[in-house]
Amino acid sequence: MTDHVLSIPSPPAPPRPRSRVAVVLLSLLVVLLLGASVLTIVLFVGAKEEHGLEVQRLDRTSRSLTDAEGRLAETEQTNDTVTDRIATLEAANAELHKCADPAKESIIAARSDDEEALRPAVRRAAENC
Amino acid sequence: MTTPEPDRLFTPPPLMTSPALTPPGLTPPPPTPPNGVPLPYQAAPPPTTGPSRAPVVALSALAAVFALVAGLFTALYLGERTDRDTIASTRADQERTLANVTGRQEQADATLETNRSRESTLTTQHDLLTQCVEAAKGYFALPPGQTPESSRLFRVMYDVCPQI
Repeated sequence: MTDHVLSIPSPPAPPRPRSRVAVVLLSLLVVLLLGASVLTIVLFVGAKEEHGLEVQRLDRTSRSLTDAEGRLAETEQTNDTVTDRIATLEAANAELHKCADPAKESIIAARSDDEEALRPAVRRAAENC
Repeated sequence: MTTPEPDRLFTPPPLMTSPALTPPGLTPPPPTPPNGVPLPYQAAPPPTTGPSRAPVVALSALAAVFALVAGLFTALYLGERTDRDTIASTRADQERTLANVTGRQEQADATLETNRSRESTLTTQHDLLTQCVEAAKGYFALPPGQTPESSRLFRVMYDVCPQI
């Protein structure tokens, strides 16, 4: 009764080398990706610091530019004021010269006892002063 | 129990044991011995799962995580660099403007210095002219004849008017 037990063939051995190769390749990939992650994190931190420094430099430049523009505007305004005063003085001096020039000529003629020059100069001074 | 005769050995039809004909999800029936006596129970062999897949799964998950981290920080790094480049470009523009403003400031300072010098000269002339003209106007406004006031005014004209 027990002489006819069928023997079932055992399955072939699993391909262990293929699994080992996969594990090794995946390990290499993990190491590579870990290195890439560390590298990108380092690069990001460096870029962030550089970004912060650049922002500080931009702030300094902006402040300098604002100050310089303020100084320039102030100087140009002062220049305009001085130019206006110069124009006023030139106009006033031109008006004063009408009287002062004959008076000056009169004095110069009187100092040099130049009667011929003195009389017309005094007359012009009397007319314009 | 009778032992089958050797010449009547039963050969199972191949179609019955073919796994292709077995409905899916059902295990094929155990082979029946030729004598019809059922085989003693034999435990089915464990399913052939092969080597454990846990390391592969774990490494794959780790690789995915690191790939995500690398990708995320690459994107963040590129964003930071773009922002920094934009700010650097803005700063370069502002520095060029600052250099231009500094140049204009130097010109404005020089012009202001020249104008102030001119204003100072004109103010001095104006003072002299005013003294000369006031003296002359006073002198010619007086009636003819020498008076102390006319002498004083003439003296002012004599001293001041030639300086014009």
